[in-house]
Amino acid sequence: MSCEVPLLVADHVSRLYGSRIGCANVSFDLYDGEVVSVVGESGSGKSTLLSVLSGSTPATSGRIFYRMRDGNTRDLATLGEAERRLLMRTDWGFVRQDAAEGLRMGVSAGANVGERLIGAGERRYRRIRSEALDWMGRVEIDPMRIDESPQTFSGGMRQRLQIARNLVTRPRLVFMDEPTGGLDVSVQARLLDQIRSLVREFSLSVVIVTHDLAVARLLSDRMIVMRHGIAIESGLTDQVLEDPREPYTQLLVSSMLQV
Amino acid sequence: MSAPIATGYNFAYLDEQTKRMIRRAILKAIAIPGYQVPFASREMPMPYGWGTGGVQVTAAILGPDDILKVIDQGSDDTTNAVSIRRFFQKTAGVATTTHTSKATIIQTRHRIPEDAVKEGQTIVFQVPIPEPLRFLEPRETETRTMHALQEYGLMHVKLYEDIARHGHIATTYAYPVRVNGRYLMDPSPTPKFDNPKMDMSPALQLFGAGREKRIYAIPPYTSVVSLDFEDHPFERGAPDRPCALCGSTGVFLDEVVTDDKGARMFVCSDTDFCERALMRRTAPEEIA
Amino acid sequence: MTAVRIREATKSFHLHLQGGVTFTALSQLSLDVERGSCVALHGPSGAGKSTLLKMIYGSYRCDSGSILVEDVGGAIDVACATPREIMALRRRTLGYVSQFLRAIPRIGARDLITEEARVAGVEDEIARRRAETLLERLNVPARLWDVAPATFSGGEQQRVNIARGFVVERPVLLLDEPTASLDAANRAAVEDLVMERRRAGAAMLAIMHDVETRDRVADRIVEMRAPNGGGGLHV
Repeated sequence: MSCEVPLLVADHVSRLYGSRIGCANVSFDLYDGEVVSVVGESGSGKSTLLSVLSGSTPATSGRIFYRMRDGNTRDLATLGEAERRLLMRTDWGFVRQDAAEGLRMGVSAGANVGERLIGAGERRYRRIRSEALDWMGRVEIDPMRIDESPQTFSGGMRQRLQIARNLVTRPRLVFMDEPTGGLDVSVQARLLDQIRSLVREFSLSVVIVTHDLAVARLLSDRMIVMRHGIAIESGLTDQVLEDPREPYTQLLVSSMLQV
Repeated sequence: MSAPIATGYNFAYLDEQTKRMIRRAILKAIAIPGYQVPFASREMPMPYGWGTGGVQVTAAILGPDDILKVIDQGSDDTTNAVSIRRFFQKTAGVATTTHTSKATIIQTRHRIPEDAVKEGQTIVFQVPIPEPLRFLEPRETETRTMHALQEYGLMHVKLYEDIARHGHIATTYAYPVRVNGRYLMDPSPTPKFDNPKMDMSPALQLFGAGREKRIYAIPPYTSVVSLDFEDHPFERGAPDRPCALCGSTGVFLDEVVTDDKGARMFVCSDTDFCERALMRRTAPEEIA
Repeated sequence: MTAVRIREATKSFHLHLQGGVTFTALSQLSLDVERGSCVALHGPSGAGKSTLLKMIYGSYRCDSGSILVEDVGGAIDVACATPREIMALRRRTLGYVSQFLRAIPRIGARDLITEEARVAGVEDEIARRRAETLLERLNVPARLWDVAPATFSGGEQQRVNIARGFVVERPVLLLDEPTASLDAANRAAVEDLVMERRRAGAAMLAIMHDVETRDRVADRIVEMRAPNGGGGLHV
């Protein structure tokens, strides 16, 4: 157990925008099957952190390591563009708050799911089709709607389609940026529940950014609280929520709705 | 039919420096089959969409001894074909022909002649939109990266959509191909029926997009593979009937409406091929 | 053999939002719990009973002292363990049953309990059978098994929660008022469960206000008092 190698390691990761801090000196390890939430208010740097971790924004300093499928841990900064993009569309997933950013709105739901399979080299139409149907079922979208454009889908359905699209290649690591943001409360509950089940079923490692502590409580094992770009507190999710130490964390927790 | 050579223009309209610039782009395009080479496309005395890209490529490679054939949708006598042919007659004074086998340069919009082309011939295609990924990924920065990294999955997404909607790959023209096992290429809006003719063709194939300022090429004897799925292979889509005029089979046909009561006939889209087939049938002894 | 060894554990809360008040909840507490023993914590509210359970479970941090819990590879000091070590400890060794069920909206009672066992590494079929046995023993009607417990009565929810706490046979169990709102029959069922686990060698720490239940299951009662005489509040 103790000799287990983390899947993702953030080592003093900073991202500066000129003199402004995006995020500064963030370090943490993420192991297989672990869910870490990054919480904080808008502008706290949590989305910047996610963008740096996922390689879409280069870090100003610090390093990020990832254990590839071949078992070798690599410094992400040393990956070529081709390798990074391959990682992004096979071994990683990214669920965005705005489904229109995470989906291809111009093509059908089935094609949205199929694209990642095709990207991974699948060239059998029937197989792509059946996987797409299977995944639509898993995320509780009526398979009859496989040929419809996500434009015709509700917000909750779009998010579920985005999740299906990401998980179809069986990634090991999924980044989520406010996946339930902007949804009705009842829709949120259903989506959270589905994310939770899928995370368990596929032993996914997840880094989830949210401003909603209730989301973090339901989904994450560990929690990182960010403020002004700095990780001010971290620990087991129940520990941070029940025994918050920092004034800001106490404020956040006391503002949380009790469910 | 040959018009007098217009004075006051450089040979083939474009100045020599421009032609050199275009030739450099063409050479690069030949060196990297299927890769879209940017070039400084000039304003031509015709509107975009009328083949300004093809005309510039033709102007750059045309010599006094060349024999030029110009076709539009297979036809030598439509407005577009006629005016481009006249353009080069006037500005370069070159010989023109409608016979595929006699031409050294064939500028075409949307067809490859039925007669097999041979070594030494050059086909110049007029291209409206050179980027095959554009409709699925509008960001040029992204499509360039996709080409660089050979991430062509998106093109199969388009084919997937076709099959999902129509039960088969319904793309019938501008059917995407992979050139020399490397670059994804839009073969211009030629019917997919002509795609197999591009594969290992003995002729040099050049593509010019004037508005988009891109030139690309398929050198002779280069593999050109139409994309498909294992369980939905590429189909050429050969017509199921002979030409109503010449009776040829296995050629690409145009539908022609013959009256205002809906009567129609299907005839060769390649008019030169059709005429000679007709002549062979009616007076075989006159053909050398 | 000692399963839980607590030495001079101290916990205070610094309440930044209430003018920076520091509140000592537990001061210099030492306690051992042996395998096969059930220690009942007794004392007025504010004496730190729940605080102690949460410190052992790792939900509350420990300011000073040590909390050693015997794990498969040796003792782990929860007071200074990493989150990951605590997570592993909880998975295989340390169980916690509170009186409140944190229900998940759309998951049925049986699945909720089964999942708890599965996460701890119990095989699907066995996990499911164990869940059903427990629901039966705790008199949860079969018609409710596939219903999400969010709609259950307080007593029903509590029994689902107990089933969840007992479905994995962990060697250390922390019980916070497990019988609080149960009737006599269900109390007896819970007492049976506790006694079975005790006989199997589990070490337990329990908060139980119900004297009869406490006398039946506990072999030791520890009196707790609020630190500093009373209130435990100092500025």
